[in-house]
Amino acid sequence: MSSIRTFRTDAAIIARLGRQLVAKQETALVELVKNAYDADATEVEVVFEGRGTVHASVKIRDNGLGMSRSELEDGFLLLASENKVSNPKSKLYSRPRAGRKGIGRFSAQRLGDRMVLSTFSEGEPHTLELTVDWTEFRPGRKLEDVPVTITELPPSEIGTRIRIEGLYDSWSTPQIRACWRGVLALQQPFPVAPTTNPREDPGFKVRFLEDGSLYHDMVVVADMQSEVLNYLPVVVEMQVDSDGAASWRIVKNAFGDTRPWRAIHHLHRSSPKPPAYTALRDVHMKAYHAILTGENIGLPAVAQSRVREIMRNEGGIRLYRNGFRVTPYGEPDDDWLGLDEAYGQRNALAPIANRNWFGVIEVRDAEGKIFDEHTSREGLIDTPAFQELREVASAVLISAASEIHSDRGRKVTTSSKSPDPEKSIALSEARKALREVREAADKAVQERKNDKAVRIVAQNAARAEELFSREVEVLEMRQAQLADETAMLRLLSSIGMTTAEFSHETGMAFEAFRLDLDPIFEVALNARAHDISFAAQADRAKKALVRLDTLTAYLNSTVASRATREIHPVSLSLAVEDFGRGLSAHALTQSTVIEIDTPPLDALYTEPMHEAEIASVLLNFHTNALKAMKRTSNTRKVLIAADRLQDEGEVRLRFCDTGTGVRDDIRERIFDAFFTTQHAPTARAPDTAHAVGTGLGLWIVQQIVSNAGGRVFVGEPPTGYSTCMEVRFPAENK
Amino acid sequence: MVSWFLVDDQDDAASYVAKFADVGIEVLHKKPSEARPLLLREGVSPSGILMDVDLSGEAGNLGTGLGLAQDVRARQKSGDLDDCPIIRFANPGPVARNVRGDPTSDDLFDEFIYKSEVGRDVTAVATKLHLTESIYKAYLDIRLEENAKDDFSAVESILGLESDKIEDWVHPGLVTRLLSGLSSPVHVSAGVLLRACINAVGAMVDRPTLSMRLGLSSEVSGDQWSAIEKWLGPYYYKGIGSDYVDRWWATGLDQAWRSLKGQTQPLSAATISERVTTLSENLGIKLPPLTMPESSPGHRPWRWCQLSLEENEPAYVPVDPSHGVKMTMPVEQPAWVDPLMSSKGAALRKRDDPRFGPSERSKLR
Repeated sequence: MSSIRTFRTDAAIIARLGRQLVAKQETALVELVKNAYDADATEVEVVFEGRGTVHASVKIRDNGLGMSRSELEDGFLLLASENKVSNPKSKLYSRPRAGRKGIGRFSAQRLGDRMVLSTFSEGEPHTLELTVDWTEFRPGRKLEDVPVTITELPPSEIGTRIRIEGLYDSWSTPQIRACWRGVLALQQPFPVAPTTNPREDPGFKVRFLEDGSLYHDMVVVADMQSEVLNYLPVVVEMQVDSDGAASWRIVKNAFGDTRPWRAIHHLHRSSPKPPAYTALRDVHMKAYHAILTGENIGLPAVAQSRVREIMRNEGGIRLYRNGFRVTPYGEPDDDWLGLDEAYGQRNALAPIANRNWFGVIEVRDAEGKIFDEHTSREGLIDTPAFQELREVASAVLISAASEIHSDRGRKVTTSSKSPDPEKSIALSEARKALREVREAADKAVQERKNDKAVRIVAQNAARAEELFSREVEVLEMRQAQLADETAMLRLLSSIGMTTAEFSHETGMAFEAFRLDLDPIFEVALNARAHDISFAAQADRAKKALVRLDTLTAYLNSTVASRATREIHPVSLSLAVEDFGRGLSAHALTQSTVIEIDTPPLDALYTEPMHEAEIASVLLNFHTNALKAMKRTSNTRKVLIAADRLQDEGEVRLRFCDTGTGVRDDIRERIFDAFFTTQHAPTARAPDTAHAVGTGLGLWIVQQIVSNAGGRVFVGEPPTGYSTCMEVRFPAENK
Repeated sequence: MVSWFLVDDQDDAASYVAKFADVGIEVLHKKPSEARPLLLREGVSPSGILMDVDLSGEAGNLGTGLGLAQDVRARQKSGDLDDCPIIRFANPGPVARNVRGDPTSDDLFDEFIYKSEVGRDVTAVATKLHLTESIYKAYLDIRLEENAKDDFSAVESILGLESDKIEDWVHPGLVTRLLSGLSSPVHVSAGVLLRACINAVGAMVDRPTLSMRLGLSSEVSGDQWSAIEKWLGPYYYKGIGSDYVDRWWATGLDQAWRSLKGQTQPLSAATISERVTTLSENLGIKLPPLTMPESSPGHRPWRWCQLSLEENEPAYVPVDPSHGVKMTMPVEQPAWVDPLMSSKGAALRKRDDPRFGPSERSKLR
């Protein structure tokens, strides 16, 4: 005899499956948020109410697509439904499903004893409210016999709201923040905004809140701002007003001072009052900046890894037009500002790549006059305004990154030693040992709550761990700075080698070249004896030749002296006189007269140093002076004076010019690496623009001088001059 | 006309060839691989050779200009090649790398010219070429005369002096060297006259030195200089090569000074003021006095600062020997050649120059 039977399901299976599938309360909550993501929500709020009381509850509300009646009944209420298996991507934005298969209802069950789910989907006549009392799923009852109620309510906002009451667990703030971090990978650090393409994913944002009470407003426990953006050390803003005037500022700077609004135009880099842009109007930019090189990125250790990860995945500057995001600008593979390219070419040493920025540019152009999108929705048409936008944004970001780089390098000295790799391993082992001590002490406190001695041990272990971490952070910061400095020195030395090779080869050819050129000039001038414009052209060419000739000769002689690597006392008088002899002709071609003032019978020997270094100092001052004098209408003259300060035991060099002078507020900072009075060139600027005004010249001077035991500062200019760079070297100790 | 050879590994040597052509000197550029067989095997003898130092730019060339010059001199000594001047003609860089501090190759060359001098003043360079060429020619002519060896009259014609003047004005060591040179190859005897007499301050002085020793500023006018030349006419050098250089016998200058009214001490012991005053009064013209540079103290200028003359742009800085700093050459200088000195200012700045002896160096610290 045979009979047909069916499996029967005890109602207690719900509780049993819930415990087995979702062991931790945090996992349960994260799964509910992921369900909202799968429902194409762009914003989710998780609100805790009455936390720490017997009436505690949690609400999860999203603005996703909501569920229709059939989806609710055949999906949510059907255990092991095929929905997520058969539809691996979300309906609207084609998001890969984040939630695990069919686990959502068990997650709700895992969290509390009662769930009220209300959902409204577009096209549905009602909001549906499902109420489930999990306590009814007791052993001995058939699963099918436990009723759940679906109530039809008036239509409401599209989306789903879940309220879970009778929470089984208490929730601490760190646990809530851990939940937020659990869905970090689904989020982006940008404002969630629709795009002009309705099928394009605008983003996903999750906030964990604590509901207000009689005495408290609703507060954010965890969101992108609190968990990531607040940790980023630098915030830069830019604006272009309705007249086209662009300016920028640094509103947050963990490495130094903030900077006030400053005007900018990428084509007028050194002008304190640059002109307005001709086409660009009404732009705002806010950009967060972080450094990813080395072990330390200027963040607390707890935030480092997640910030680094999200910056690497999501870094870039996005563009929003009239409240809509314009793609593909700021997407992971898009380099619309040329930042990655510029960084790759090492045009700028500061970290300027897209991965170092989270930023948003908003342009307002309601009438579509200055910006317009391609009909294919593949970005903006390359209008003059858009071109200007790219140039100014790029210039601001590179300028800001360079200034921050300077701030970070301010305290670096050449005497710092490179970190020892073995020491790094030792440090990480020490850190691990300290952590284990602290954890053991914490455990002991839990077991022996009344033991005062154990408590003291635990407190001190925690303090030791914290102090150690802080010191390691400082160490790692210095390590990163040294790595930057090494990269910079590598670049500079390669430039130096190229320059040496160039000047050597040019110098060798110059004598013969000049001989040929003289008769060529003569013949040409005779042939066009009455052509004034040609005569002027020939004169310019001759002057250029003189400049090249004298500079090459001087460079050759300094390069020759660089070949001697040992240090010895150097005659400051001779170095200054040689410089005057070598560069006077060059200066004259720039309408500049060089006056040399040295004591005839005092060679002014320094303590041992490299002979060529003084030439480098003088060349740096000379280049700066010529640039500064070109910005004024003053008579161009340079005074290079050297003397002895007997009482101080120093020899002194003063390099004075009639240029623009040095403002009081930047006197201290001009010797910092990457400090420049010019704005940085844009990412797309030619290499020659990047080669000048890098802000490294005076830093190198400062390094040379301090390495020789001296000091350099902005001194008081003598009468008739506006700038005086003063260098003091320790005099030779006879 | 037989041409000069310019032995140079670089193609741009053609620029110098063109420049020399401007002043009427025909120079043929020869790559080392070309010059070597011409000179050493085929015995082609040019008017003179301008020899570069570094010849490594030509593929396969392992030698230097110094080595080739030595080979040429050996051929000349053996009679396989006619004697001709060899001038070291190079840029300062290769000279510094290959020669500076090592005088062993100096005797091979009659003259030393930096290539940059051609651009600065090709006429002056041409004069140097003419001078060496004329001296070689004169020596060859003397050789053609019978019994020139050990003939004092040959020395008279070389120096353009009668025997009594030679006895009074010329150091006996120089006379001996000139006499013995007559039995040596031409390049040896010509070298003595050029390097140790005409081009070295000592037995004779050139115009700048004369002016400085008389205490005169370089701003002496043409008329003023004419008066001085007239006064010193008897002491003007009239020997071989005198068509190309102005020289005065140094001892003759002392003699001329002693003949002036009002002088109370030797010229070298008189101050600038005393020299100029005495001279002005005797010649009846007002002469501008020399101003000593601050880097070179003193009032009795007699030498030039060697360090300043060696600059890329040579500068004539007078030195009062009682304030100057002595320099010692790596090879012994003939007795009739003035010792080298440096001004105090220049010496202080280049105190590590190896030509300063221990006692001078200690004073500079």
